[in-house]
This record gives sequence, structure tokens and C-alpha cells, in this order.
Amino acid sequence: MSRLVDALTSNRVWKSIVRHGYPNTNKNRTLLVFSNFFLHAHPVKARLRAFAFSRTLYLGGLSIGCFALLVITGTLLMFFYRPAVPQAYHDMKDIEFVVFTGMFQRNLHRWAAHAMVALVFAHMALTFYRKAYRPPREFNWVIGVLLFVGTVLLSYTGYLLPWDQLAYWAVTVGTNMAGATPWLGDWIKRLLLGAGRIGESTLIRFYVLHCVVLPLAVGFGIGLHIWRIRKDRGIYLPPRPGSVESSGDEPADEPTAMTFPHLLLREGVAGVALTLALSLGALLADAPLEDIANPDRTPNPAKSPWYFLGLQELLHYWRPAISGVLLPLLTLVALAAIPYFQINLDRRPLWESPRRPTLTRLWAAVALLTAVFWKSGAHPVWAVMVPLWVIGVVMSLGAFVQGKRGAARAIRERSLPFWIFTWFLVIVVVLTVVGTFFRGPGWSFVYPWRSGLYL
Amino acid sequence: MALVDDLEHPPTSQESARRRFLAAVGGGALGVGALGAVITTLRFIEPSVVYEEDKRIAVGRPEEIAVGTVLVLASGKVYLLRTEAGFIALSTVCTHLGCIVRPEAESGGFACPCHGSRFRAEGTVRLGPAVRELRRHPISVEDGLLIVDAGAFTEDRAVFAVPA
Repeated sequence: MSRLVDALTSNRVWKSIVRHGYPNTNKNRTLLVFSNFFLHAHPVKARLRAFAFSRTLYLGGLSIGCFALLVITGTLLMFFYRPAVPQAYHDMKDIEFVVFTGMFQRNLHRWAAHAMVALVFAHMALTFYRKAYRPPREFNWVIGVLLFVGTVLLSYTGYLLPWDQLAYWAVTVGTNMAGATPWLGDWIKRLLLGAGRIGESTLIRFYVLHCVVLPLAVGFGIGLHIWRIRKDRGIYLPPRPGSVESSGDEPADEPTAMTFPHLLLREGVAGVALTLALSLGALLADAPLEDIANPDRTPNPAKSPWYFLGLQELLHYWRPAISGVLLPLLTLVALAAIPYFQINLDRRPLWESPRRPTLTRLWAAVALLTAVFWKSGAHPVWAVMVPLWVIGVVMSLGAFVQGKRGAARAIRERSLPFWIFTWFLVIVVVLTVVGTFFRGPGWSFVYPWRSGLYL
Repeated sequence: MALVDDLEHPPTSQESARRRFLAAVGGGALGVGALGAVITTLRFIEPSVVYEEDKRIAVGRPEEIAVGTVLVLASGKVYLLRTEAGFIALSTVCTHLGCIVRPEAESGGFACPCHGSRFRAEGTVRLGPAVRELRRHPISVEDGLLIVDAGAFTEDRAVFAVPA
């Protein structure tokens, strides 16, 4: 065996491709990372603390893993798919029932897409809580927010392509929402649809966006995101106890380890675990395909995929220009602005300020927001008001609890931005759960344990 | 060709002024060109022609349709109501975000499957999020036949009075 390896690696052709020796010395391990096009995003050595799974949960890396799986399965699906009406739907049926392992490829593509949306969102939340966007990394956070938008747009353009009922009506709602943009609405809608209504011209537009424009943009964005992390000397690590926070070079005593084999091994294991988990999902659960698109009949209820059900729930309350355009845009702007206003970085606990006026201001704000969410919409927005009250109560506890450790200390030491971001996360989850499980025909409120699930 | 390093040999003030002028002209031309390219590309993507089929529906002789009749046309996309005052051709495309509303048995009106708007039988809003009432299609009579144009909408709450 080793003689075979020797024979393969000791000839001129091999040496012209891989210009370093077998990685059994530190020099060759250095060269392996340093001289390899595919590995050059890595440093030769990385700080040991950055390896820990608990620090990042590998969320960013797993998102990239999903993207890679999506590019592979998506390219395979393209061999059988024609973006035309009605061929698109028939091709989907062929992929499911005729093409060898077609059902598996489609399932894998679908579940990897869902996983990517969830992973990218979780990555953003963890980056906020770990304060990893602190200077000089502000702009990389903005790139991350844009990558999240790109991920959502990829999902959105992807689900018109099967040309089934879900596809047709989700895109009807989505493009009408874009059409509600003040001044530019009609023009944006016409650009997206390529016609007065959804049809073949819309399908080919979404196909080009989904298969070419957005993957290239997101792929480029990922490259930029990684490159900037590398230029900032790796992922953000909080200062170690006892050492001062430094903006540039890490202290000389920061322990490091070689990228080969330690980091590459971990990345490999994470990649294999992700592939196995998603493949298992693809074997066990089939991606839904409804009836062929019928412009004359909307399914009842017509539900978008789970990651849009929060937005669909919002659209139940305010008009599209607010729920569909203004609120999402404001949210994105607020997210992008976080690092530039040093939000949550100065770590000033909310209850460091005088207790009485803070309590008064807090509950005045809660009362004001409650009034807004009670009266402004077509229906009272319980899904936003209840989390607001719960978080208000938990926040207020900080003014009264005394404990020096555990939950009491945690509540007392959190800052105001921490609570606002947590409220944002909670309402995203609550709106999504309500839209997913508690809405039935005519978008009326149902209890899933009584009326069953409408998915 | 000799290259002159501008850091080692700074240009004279006259030469600097000339270079600034040329840079402004050149940069401006590039900018105008780039803007033109962007506008042209956007205009290229925007559809110039929108093909739509004729969606006029011949319903029948108006005098044969009794008051109180509701006719469902175009696979449910149009509800033709014969009221005391005349005909109303109601579009079932929800004015909120374009889903097709469905008749609701308990209220006698319509319910939207996508975001839960509710409309009364003649199309006015009973419950949001929709704010505008259901739109109406123009109705005409040709050769004694009632024609509903499902491809067009009226601006007002049009009721088509039956010609005597």
C-alpha cells in the first residue's frame, strides 16, 4: 500500500501538481495549507480557542456546507428541468418518479435550503449575542445581513420553479407585496413578473435569478465574508480573563494549533455530519409537491414555507406597504446599523441606572407599544404584544432580584439592546409558530390539537 | 516608453490643472456611460409588450336572468350578481394581495385563504387586512347578449342597469 502511494506521489506529474511532500512534517503541513488554492482561506495555524464547537456551533461553516450541497443538487436537478409552462411541473413529476434517485436529490435540495435559512439566521443571532461584530468587523456584519437576504431570496425564487399551487400563490402574494412599495411598486412588480400576471415569463425570470444571478452573488458574498474574517485574524474571540482587549495582534501567549490536521479534521467531520443528517432527512421525508398551478383557485389556506409564515402572519394585520415593505426594510436597516452604533458593546447593565425612572420609562414604552399593536392593525396583534409583556416582566425582575449568581445575576446584568434583540427574536419565532400551527382556512385562528394541522 | 513617477517628480501646477480637467472629463464620460448602461439594462429587462388573451365572457340574455341570481363565471374568478338595480360583475381577486377569495357559507360573503380578509356579498370589506372592496368588471350588451369583460376593471362601483 505504502509502495503504491510512493509510486503515485514520487513521479514528475504528481510533483508538478502538488509541490510539497507528504504532510508528515510541520513544513509540509504548512505548505499543504499555504500552497493549496482550496485551502488558502485558512491560516497555517489557528488560535486554539477558535476550534471549540461551543464557541460558534460551527453555524457559519454549516451554512456554507448547505450552500455547497445546494449548488451540487441544484445543478443535478437542472439536467431535467425546463422553465416552461406546463413542462416545469411535468419535469418535477419526472424527477420524483422517473429519474433515478431524483426524489432523493430534490428532497436533499429542499431540506438543505430550509436548513440554510435556519442556520444563517441562528448564525446571525449568535454573532449578536457573542458581540462578534465589534470593530473592525462592522462591515462584515453588514455583508452577513446581506447574505441572509440573499439566502431568503434564493429560497423565494426557488419555490416558484416547481409550478405547483404553493409556488403560484406564494409568488402571487410575494410580487403583489413588492408591488405595494410606494412609487416604485408597479415598476418592480413588472420587472419581476415580466408580464401583467404570473406566467411563463415570470418562471424564466425566477429561473435565471435562482440558478445564475443569486448563487453567484451569494457565492461572491461568502468569499468576501470569509476573506474579511481572515484579514481580521480569524473569528472574533473575547479577551481572555486577565488580558486587556486588543484590537489587532493577539497576545504572544495565545495557544495555537496547526490547521492541518486539526482544523481541517473538524471541518471535515462537520461537513460529513451535515451531509449525513440532511441525507437522512431526504430519505425519510419527501419535499411536498402540490397540484399543478391553477390561477383560478387559491388553496385554502394558502401557506408559504415556514420561514415566510411570520411575514404572512404580519400581513394579516397591516396593509402590505407596512407589513410587507416598510417593516422588513426597517428591520434590515436596524440589523445592519447594529455595529455602527456600538449596540450591546458597552455592556452597561440596564439596572445600573436609577431604578424608579427606568421602570417608569420601560412600562411607558410597553404601554405605548401595546396601544399601537392593539389599535393600528386590522386585528389586535397578540403575537407581538404577549412577548412584549413577558419580556417587559422579565426585564423588570432585574430591578428586584438580588442573587449574585445564575439567572438572577444574568437578568440584572443584561443591557437594553440585549432585551430589544431578544424581543425581536422571540416575535420572529412566535409569529412563525402562530402562522404555521394556529392558522387554518380563511387564515382564521385554529387550535392544532382540535382541528389538526394545516401545513 | 519612459514612465514618470508622480511621487518622485511632482507635476507642475499647470500640468496638475490640465490633469484634473482631463480626469474630470474622462471620469464624467465614464460615469455617464455607466449610468446609460444601467438604465439600458433595466429597460431591457422590463417587458415592452405584455400579451393577454381576450377575457370577455358572453353570459346570456339579460332578461332571462332573474333578480337574485348569482352566476359563477371564469372558474370562480367572477361572480355575476343580478340585483334589483341591475348586474354587478364582482372580481374574486382579493384586493389585498391577489389570492382568489372563496364564498363563505355562514356570512354569505367571501373569505380570503391567504391573509383572512372578509368581504360582504356585494364586495365591501367586512374585516381586514384588505382596505379596498372587491373590484368590478365592465358589463355591456352586444347582440342582446350580456358580456362581462374579465380582463378589465371599472373605476367605480359600477352597476349595469338592464336596458329596457
